[in-house]
Parts: sequence; structure tokens; C-alpha cells
Amino acid sequence: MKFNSTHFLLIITALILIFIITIFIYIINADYSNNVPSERPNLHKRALSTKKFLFNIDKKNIKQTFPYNKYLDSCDRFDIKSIRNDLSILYSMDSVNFMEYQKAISIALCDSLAYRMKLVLNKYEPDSLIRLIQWVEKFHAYGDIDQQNLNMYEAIYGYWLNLISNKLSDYYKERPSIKYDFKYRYIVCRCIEKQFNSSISNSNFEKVIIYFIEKNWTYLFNKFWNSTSILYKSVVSLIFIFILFPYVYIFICNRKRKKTGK
Amino acid sequence: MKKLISLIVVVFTTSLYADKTSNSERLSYYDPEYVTISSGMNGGEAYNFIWMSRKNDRVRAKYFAAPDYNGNNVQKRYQSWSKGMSIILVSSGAYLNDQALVEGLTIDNGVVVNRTLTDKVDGLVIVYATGGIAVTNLDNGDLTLNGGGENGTKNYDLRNSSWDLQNFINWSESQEATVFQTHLLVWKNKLDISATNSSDNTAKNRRFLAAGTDEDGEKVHVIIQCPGVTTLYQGTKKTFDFLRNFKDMNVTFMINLDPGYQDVFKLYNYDGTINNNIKGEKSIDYAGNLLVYYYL
Repeated sequence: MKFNSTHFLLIITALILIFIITIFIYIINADYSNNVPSERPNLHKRALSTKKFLFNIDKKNIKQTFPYNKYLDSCDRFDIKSIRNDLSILYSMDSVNFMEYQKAISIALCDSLAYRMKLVLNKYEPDSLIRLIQWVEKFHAYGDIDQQNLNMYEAIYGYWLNLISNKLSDYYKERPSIKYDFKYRYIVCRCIEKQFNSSISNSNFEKVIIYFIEKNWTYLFNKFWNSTSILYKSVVSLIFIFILFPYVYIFICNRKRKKTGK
Repeated sequence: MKKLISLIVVVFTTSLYADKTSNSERLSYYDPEYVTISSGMNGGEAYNFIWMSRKNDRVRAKYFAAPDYNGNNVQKRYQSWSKGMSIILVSSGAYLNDQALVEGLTIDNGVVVNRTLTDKVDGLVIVYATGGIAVTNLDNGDLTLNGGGENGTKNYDLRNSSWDLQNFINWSESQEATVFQTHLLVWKNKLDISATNSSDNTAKNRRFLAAGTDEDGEKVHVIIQCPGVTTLYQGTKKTFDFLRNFKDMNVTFMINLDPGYQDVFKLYNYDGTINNNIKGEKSIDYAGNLLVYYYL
């Protein structure tokens, strides 16, 4: 079978179609569901209680003897009144070392709680992350009305948003296409809004597209020449020749036709 | 027609003159005793570098991390700040993410730009208002602070204590400090990167900032362009080797300056003319942040 210009054009069209379909599949694979969990009011508040175990802490060694797990079991972390009540008890008990108690409570609500939530945080669960943000963002506002505990609130707020922001980078590393999911983008934007930028980069393919749009040809060529293997260069060159050849072929045929007058 | 030609000539001459005057207004001289722009051969490769003495605190650093609250981008901020200053060099500094936002904890003159302390890199750079630069290895958790009620006795572990991190941010705000995160490549004269733990394995242009002491024990800052294109690990290894063996430098720290998308670098000679020994591929407009060395 003899190849002519029509065959070549058909092959090129097929290649372009395959390319477009691949991108299309990539796009439609993203999760566009936008049913963001709504913020729930804390209706089941526990009655304010005096946690007797708080009285057994060794004042000289607060960080080591603070019962973090017991505190988490008995504390309603969604109820700021409960947390403030505990702080008031600790202040009345030992105002000299009050900062150490604040530190201990921040450790309980940060490191100890994160340890408990390890399984939830290790895999990408956008709804859990959104709920975490909804809970922790309030701590930033609590500081405005409770200056005495400002540092503790800010430490808790900073810890969780820092953790979420770093986790977003980890999830992206595991599955780069995640960054086109609606909820992922939503969480990233919530973090940016609060000045917690994630370390999410562009893939090499995305970078090529960006440079292509910006017509940054010299940078693209430099990258291609310096940062790719010989095999990659050979394959790309072959594709390039394969795409270019039909046009050259058509051009030569047309010139011949014009010369012969056929 | 004659009028048109003479008008073009007048406009052209005026623009040339205006460009020259603005250039000379902006850049005054610096003392070449404090700054050496040179190159050296090691292992058959040429290393271009800027050797800056920190003696008498004449050579200083300044960092522009982000646009200010008035909407002035880093270029505008740099341009208005640099009027009448003796600029030695301007370079892009920290990394940017896919949305061209700074990565890692970043504070600009006491204003928080990004609060995320990224796990990706270990180096935390503090640029003091006095023009000095200090770097800490976040993995060690032994940052000490001075000023603002701190006397350098307490160790801050920013990575493992949210309380310490919050106090550090408070301190930076009160001291109007400038802070950013980047790859820490050499720490206390030892490589802090290995072929296996390096996250950046693409071969590209590399530019580093090293600080330490020279053979006479004088404090120096060196910006060095790694020859050719190389991976982060290979580039670090051979540049560190050059500084240690060829220049007899005791390297306290060496960090990476981003020559990726924002490959911005502009170097000036002592007479204010541009030196092309080391130059970035992009114009200053592409920079999301700028590290400036100047002479006072």
C-alpha cells in the first residue's frame, strides 16, 4: 500500500485526537463533587465539670506528668467554655506555672489529638479535613476575646493548619491528579486564605504547557536539552519528525505538481 | 516628514539620557575591598562567584518576600528601596508553589506572609534588620534568639513544638525580622544532603549562598554559580568541595537560591555597571521574592 498525503493527514488527525481524548479523560477523572460538609453547631455540650485528675499534676514537672489522654477523653474540644473552665481551674490552682499548663493543654489538643487522628489523617479524607478547619479556625478568634490565653489559642490554630497544609502536599505527592479535585482545591484555598500555603508544585507536563502558553521557547528548549535523557530526546525528536514529515511531503508534492502543471 | 524625524531623534536621545541618569542615580559605588567578583577552576570546571566580606558590617543583606499590603509587588518595593543604594547583587531567593506563592514559613519585615513550616526543607533563614543573615537547621531544634526579651539561652524547636513556633512568629513580628525557608545543603562544614534524600533530581542551573569564614577567620558570604547543569546533590557536592579545598573556606551553611521558574540574578560591578559573569535567565519582573546584597 502506497502512502500519500491523505494517509499522513489522517494519521496526524488520529494522533491529535488521541492527545485530546487523553487530556479529556484526565479532566473528567477529577472529582468535582462540591457537597462540602456544613458547619455543625455543638449541640451536645457536656456539663462543665471539674476534672479531678488535674489536681494530681506534679507542679515541678508539668509537661511530663500532665495526663494528656485522660484530658482528651474528658474534654469536649468543640466547647470553648469547657476548655476555658479547665484553664480557670488550673490558674486558680497554680497561677505561677500557668503558662506551663497552657502549654500542656496545647500539647493535648495538638500532638496527642493528632496521634489519635493518625489513621484519619494518613489517607486523604477531604470532609474530615474541612471539619478540622471548621473547628480550629475558631481558635484564631478566641484569642481576640481572651487575651490571657492568646498564645495557646494561636499555637493550636497554627499547629492544625500547618499540619493540614503539609498533609495536602503529601497527598499531592501520592496522587498528583488530586489537585484538580474540587474539595482538594477548596481546602488549599481555605489554607491560603489563612496564610498557610501548601508546597504543591506543577508536574513536568503542566510546566511544559505553562511555558508553551507563555511562549517561553528558549527556556523550554534549554530544559529539553539539559534536563532530559538521550532516550527521551530521541523519542521526542522522532515524534517531531513524524508530525513534521507530512507537511514537508505535501509541500514537496505541491511544488512538483506546480512544476509539472498536473 | 522632517519634523517627524527630528521628533523621533529627540525622543530617542531623551530616552537614552533618561535611562542613563536613572541608572546612575540608583547605583552608586561600592568598595571592591569588600566584594570580589571572580572565578576559579576546580576539577576542570570554572566556578563564578561573588566573595563578600562581612568585615565592619559594610556588606548587608535585605530580603523582599512578598508584595506589601499596599499592593506593591517585590519589584516595585525593591526599586523604591534601592534608590541611592549601592547594590551589589539581586537574586531570587525562596521557592514558589504552583500558584506562585511562597513555600515555607515566610515573614517579611515582621509581617507574616506564609505560616506553613514546610516539612520539605530544613533550612530556616533569618535576615536581620541590621543586614546580617543567620540560618538554622530545623531538624536540630536548637534555634536561639536574641533581642525582644530573648537572650539566646532558650532552644526553640519549631518543628516539634507549636508553642515554640508561635513564640518565634511573635518574636519575628516584634523584631521586624525577615524569615524564609529553603534547602539547607551544607551545615557546619558537613553536607546536609545525600543522593538518596535529595528531592530535586533534575539537572539544571544551580546557584548557592554560602556563609562562613575565610582562611583568615573573617566572616564571608559567597554566592556561587555551579558550572553547567547538575542535580541538586551533585551541584552541592562539587561546590562545597570547591569552597573547602580551593578557597579554604569554613562553611557554616550553604543554601539553595531558586534558579527555577524565577531564575533572576543581576550582578553589579563596583562602578555600578552590570556584570554578566553570573546572570539569571529571567528579568526581575519574574521574581516572586528578592534577596539583595548591598553596600553601606
